[in-house]
Amino acid sequence: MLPSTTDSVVQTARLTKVFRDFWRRPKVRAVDQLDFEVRRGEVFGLLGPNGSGKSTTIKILLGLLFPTSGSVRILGRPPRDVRVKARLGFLPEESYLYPYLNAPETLDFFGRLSGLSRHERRRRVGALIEMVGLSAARNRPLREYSKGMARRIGLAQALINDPELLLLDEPTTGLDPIGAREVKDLILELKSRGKTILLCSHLLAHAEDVCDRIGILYGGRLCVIGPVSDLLAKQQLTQITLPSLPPASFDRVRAVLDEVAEPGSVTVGHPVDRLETYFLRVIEEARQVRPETGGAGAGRFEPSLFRKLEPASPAEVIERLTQAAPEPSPAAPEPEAAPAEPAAPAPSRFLERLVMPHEPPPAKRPEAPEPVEPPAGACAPERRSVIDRLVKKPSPGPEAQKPPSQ
Amino acid sequence: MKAGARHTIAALTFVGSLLAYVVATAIALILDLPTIARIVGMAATVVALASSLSLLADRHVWTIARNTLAQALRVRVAFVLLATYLVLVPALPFLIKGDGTLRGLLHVVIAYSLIAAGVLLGILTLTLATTTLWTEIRDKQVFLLEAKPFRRWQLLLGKFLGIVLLNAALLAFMGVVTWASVHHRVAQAERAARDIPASSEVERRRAEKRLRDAREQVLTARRSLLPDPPPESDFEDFARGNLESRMRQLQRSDRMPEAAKAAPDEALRREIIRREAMRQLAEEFHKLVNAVPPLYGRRWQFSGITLPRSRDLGLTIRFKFFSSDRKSEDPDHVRWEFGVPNRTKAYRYDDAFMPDEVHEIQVPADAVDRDGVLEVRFYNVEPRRPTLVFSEADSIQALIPAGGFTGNLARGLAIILVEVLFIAVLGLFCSTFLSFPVSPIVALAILLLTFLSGSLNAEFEKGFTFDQNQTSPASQIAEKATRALTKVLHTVLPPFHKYSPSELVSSGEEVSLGLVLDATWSIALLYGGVLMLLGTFIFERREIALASP
Repeated sequence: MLPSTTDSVVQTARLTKVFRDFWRRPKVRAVDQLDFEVRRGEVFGLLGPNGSGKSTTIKILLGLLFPTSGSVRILGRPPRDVRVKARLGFLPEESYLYPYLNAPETLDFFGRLSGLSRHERRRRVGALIEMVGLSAARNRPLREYSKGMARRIGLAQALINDPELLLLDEPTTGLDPIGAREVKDLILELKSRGKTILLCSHLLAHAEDVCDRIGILYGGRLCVIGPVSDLLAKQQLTQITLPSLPPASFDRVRAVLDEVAEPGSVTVGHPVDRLETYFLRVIEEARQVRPETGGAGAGRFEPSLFRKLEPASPAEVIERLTQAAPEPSPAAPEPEAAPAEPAAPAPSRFLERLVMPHEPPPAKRPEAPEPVEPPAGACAPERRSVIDRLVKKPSPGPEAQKPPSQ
Repeated sequence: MKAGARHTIAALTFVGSLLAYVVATAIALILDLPTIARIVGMAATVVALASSLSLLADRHVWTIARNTLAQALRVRVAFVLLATYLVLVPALPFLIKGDGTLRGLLHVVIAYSLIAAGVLLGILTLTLATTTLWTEIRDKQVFLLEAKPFRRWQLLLGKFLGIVLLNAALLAFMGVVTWASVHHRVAQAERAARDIPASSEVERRRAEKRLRDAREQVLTARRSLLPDPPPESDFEDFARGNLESRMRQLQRSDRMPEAAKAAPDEALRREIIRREAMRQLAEEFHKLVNAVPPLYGRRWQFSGITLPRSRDLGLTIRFKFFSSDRKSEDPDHVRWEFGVPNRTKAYRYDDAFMPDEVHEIQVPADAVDRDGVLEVRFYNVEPRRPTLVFSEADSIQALIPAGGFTGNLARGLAIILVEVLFIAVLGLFCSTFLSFPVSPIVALAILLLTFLSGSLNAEFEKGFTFDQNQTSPASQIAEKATRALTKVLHTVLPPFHKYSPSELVSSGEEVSLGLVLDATWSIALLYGGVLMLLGTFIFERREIALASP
């Protein structure tokens, strides 16, 4: 079993799933000795090619499949515990919704099943529909929705209960680049509110944009696990980006570089935009000329819908360390949005000094190897600062590892 | 109390009441204490009903039920069904001819409306119950449901409740259609009777009698009462007088039973002969008391008659006799007398009746004495005519007014709902481990066996055999196996054959509240409950995301 960190939200230990045929003979080993954990407040990406065991893992986490061997804990409990489900949101790889219901009916149905009061449902249903940009299509039955619109309502149902843990299976599949960008922004916003997100994807660029850590599966086995920045950084190379230089200055810089670097190892050129960034800029300009048409519109994150989860306080950490069975923090929704700044009581700060004597590590967030221009509507700097303030976990830098089975 | 604990207590209470009932019934059977069995049965019914209702009242169950209802309504199955019913009910009397009287017409309308309601709802329920869960597993909505904080039994019960609510609504509508259709026909007949010109007095009286017959014999609810059995002493007297001579006859070598011939000693031989003589005499006595030769009479006594307060509402004697002359096509002239000599008024009724048909005679309330006893005498008045025989156990019965048509129709519909409810549980049970189209086929097969095993078992008990000669050992084994299987199925499957609401309501017989409770217990709670528990057990352990279970 993996050594449990104090704050793991999802934890599997030697998880194995073997599919059998009618005569109970083993047919496929879909998941094989899988050990991983997802920590509170992080975005974890489970990546892999088709058939690598991602969906099977998600299904086991939801109790839709039972493990052949090994164990799974979600929020400290078995997957089928209803107390777990009350704190969970799930977006499946396709939107398995009721075609005869419209958007408010769908969300009201799932809100009821999540045990929300009538008042709470009314408040959240309207706001979520607006947030996922479906206000214009709210009264159409879902059978008339496009794939992208169905994805959006699927996402809204996953968020209906303001979950602590979100399981997102291919969240950006079927969405246009704007929708995909919105979903990625939403993931980052949710993360900034302390939510934990486990996402499965084979769209690597999307995962790279949002994930703190990733695990790569192949043939049901975990090949690699670690922070995205560590796994992707080319430590032996250095990149310098400069404004366009006059030829004379350029020659001087080049001369210096040729002097310090090995011959032939220096490349010079103009950085290019990512196609996604370029596309979003073109659409944004078009929107200025011609506002919204039918179908899905632009979504806007609605912070009041999501409680801000406090990172585990030092007191809780001590409590967990001294208890045999860790009890996750209560799931009862708070009446309104929490204040923007977590106001920790004085004794906690005292304890914090006691248990964390070192400087808090720098906030981890996905950093692309190549700097890109922040796209319109993407996480604005001030929002990032909220994220930075919230994330107080030790840097997982040195822990990039390969699982022992590999 | 937390919801989980409440649910556990309700489920345990439900199971406990089922077990208590089974154990109490077994003990009562062994110790021969039917009253105790009835009391425990009633208590268990109430407790089981209350605990199952408390489980159904759960918020998640209602949410699923509402969605199931919406699903059924939006795919418009229910509307197609209602349209079929609305076409069928007015068309029925044209398709099936009655005996030409208003009473006969109403009988047909009610009977076939209720049968049509039961069959249509049965088909709808079987289809819905076997597909509703399966489609959600196939289309994977169940993946989303599984991620929400509720248990699978709530999903199963919610599906069940949704189907039952839909059925209840449809059945209520069908009941209103049947009720309206019946009253429309009565109003038509009343108008027709009023429109008969004053000159044709006979015609008008005939029309009024037809209306009265319809009201008194169909549009009512009457409790059926069988006559008291003939006193034991009658048979004892008969046996004492004839036993010796019969035994002497049987001791003659040509009539001696085979078993007696083989008996090793005289005492045993004599005992065998005595028993055979008693058996023959009992058979003869039965024939004798039920057979009424020309210029002879027969007397019955009904006790325990409780008439409603309005004493002018009399009771009905329903009877059917056979003629010893099977070829006779003429009615037989008979006399009926009602009333207890020296205690009540006496009534006499002379008329001719066709043999082998059911007839009813109205008897005034003052023919019944204060102790609730009515004496009925029957005379075969015509000399040189065949003997008249009352051969079956219920060939004569008193029908006592016990309520109105509307209440009776409602209780009849309640029994249909109980039967449909079982079909819903059966369908859901099958879909917890089978996929489409296997689950509806299996459910339908079980349902057909349920209906067939009741009637087949009755036939076997009457002495039916497949092979009269029993020639080959193979055919004997086959027959024995079929009998055993029928017996097992009859015992194991729910007793649908005990309840025939369409027959009762259409012939103006009371569907008592006791009968409704009895059906609720034995079909819905006992069989439905056990099946639902079993289905939940299987469904909770099923890996839903597997392509096929």
